[in-house]
Amino acid sequence: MHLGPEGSGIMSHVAFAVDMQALPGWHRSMTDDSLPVVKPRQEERELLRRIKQGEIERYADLIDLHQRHVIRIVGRRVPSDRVEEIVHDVFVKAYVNLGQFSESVSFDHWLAGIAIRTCYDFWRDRARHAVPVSSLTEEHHRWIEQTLSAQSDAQFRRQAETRDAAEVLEWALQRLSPENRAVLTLVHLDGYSVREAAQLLGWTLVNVKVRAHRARQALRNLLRHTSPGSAS
Amino acid sequence: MNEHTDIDVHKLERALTDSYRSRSSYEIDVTRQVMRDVRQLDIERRGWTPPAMLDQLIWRTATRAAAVVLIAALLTVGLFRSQSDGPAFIGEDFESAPFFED
Repeated sequence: MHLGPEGSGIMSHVAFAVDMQALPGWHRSMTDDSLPVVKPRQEERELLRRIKQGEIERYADLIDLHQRHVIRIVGRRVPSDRVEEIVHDVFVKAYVNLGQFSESVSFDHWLAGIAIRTCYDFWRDRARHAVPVSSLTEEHHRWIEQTLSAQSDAQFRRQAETRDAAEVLEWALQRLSPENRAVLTLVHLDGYSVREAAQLLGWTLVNVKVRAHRARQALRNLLRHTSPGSAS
Repeated sequence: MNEHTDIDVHKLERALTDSYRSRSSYEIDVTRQVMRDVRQLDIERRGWTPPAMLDQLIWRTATRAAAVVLIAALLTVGLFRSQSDGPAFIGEDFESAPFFED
């Protein structure tokens, strides 16, 4: 995966006041490899050329090649019951806009941009319809306490893999604006540089930089007040 | 009000990031549904191509015709003005025509 000079997610954005390496779970890389920025391979170029010339049945081969990649991106961003529908929309949009694909980046990367923007549209649409957001339960509070008291890396990792962890994350993300959610997911959770996030979202660098900072502050404020005694 | 410390917040952030990364992928296949829609789109595109071209042709022709009419009108007015030699000529016409004949 290519990463720009801005660095890789949380680790590059934060000046740590404490030695975070000493804490369980803080030694692993924050980068991800789901959005490679490389030029399309020869066989992929050939496939694209044939589809553009009218051999539409070859598009199934292209879906086959890239489906897992798109499912991975979408699966992390939208509720599980909407993943299939949104992956479908991504491939239909990609087909409609195939003429705009310039081949200056990999098809994967181009497709990732469409997937990310489609997920952003999903949350924007949800925000317009004021879908009620969940609250933290007793189980979630217990998960927070257990995570904070984890004594080993293995224990910390087990905590991170629980259903409660995913639900607490969703609880926090639901409280962010669709724009902040999109940026926070890309920059802080996926670990992409501000420049890459701006490219994928089609937004300006300044906009993404400002939102990345604000979104992280918002997330930190939410997490700060998740102890049972505070209002969450 | 109880608040978590900076260290706790960092730790929770890390746990949530790990949780996000550890999400398992979905076993779904959208190829059939996408291809069904792609074929449908292709049929619609082909079906709509002649009217779309015709529409374009009509608009282009209308624009060009309007431009020709405008240029012709401007030329006619210009020609008329140069031949008539301005308002003085019209004035002479009026003066030479008696109001009442004897």
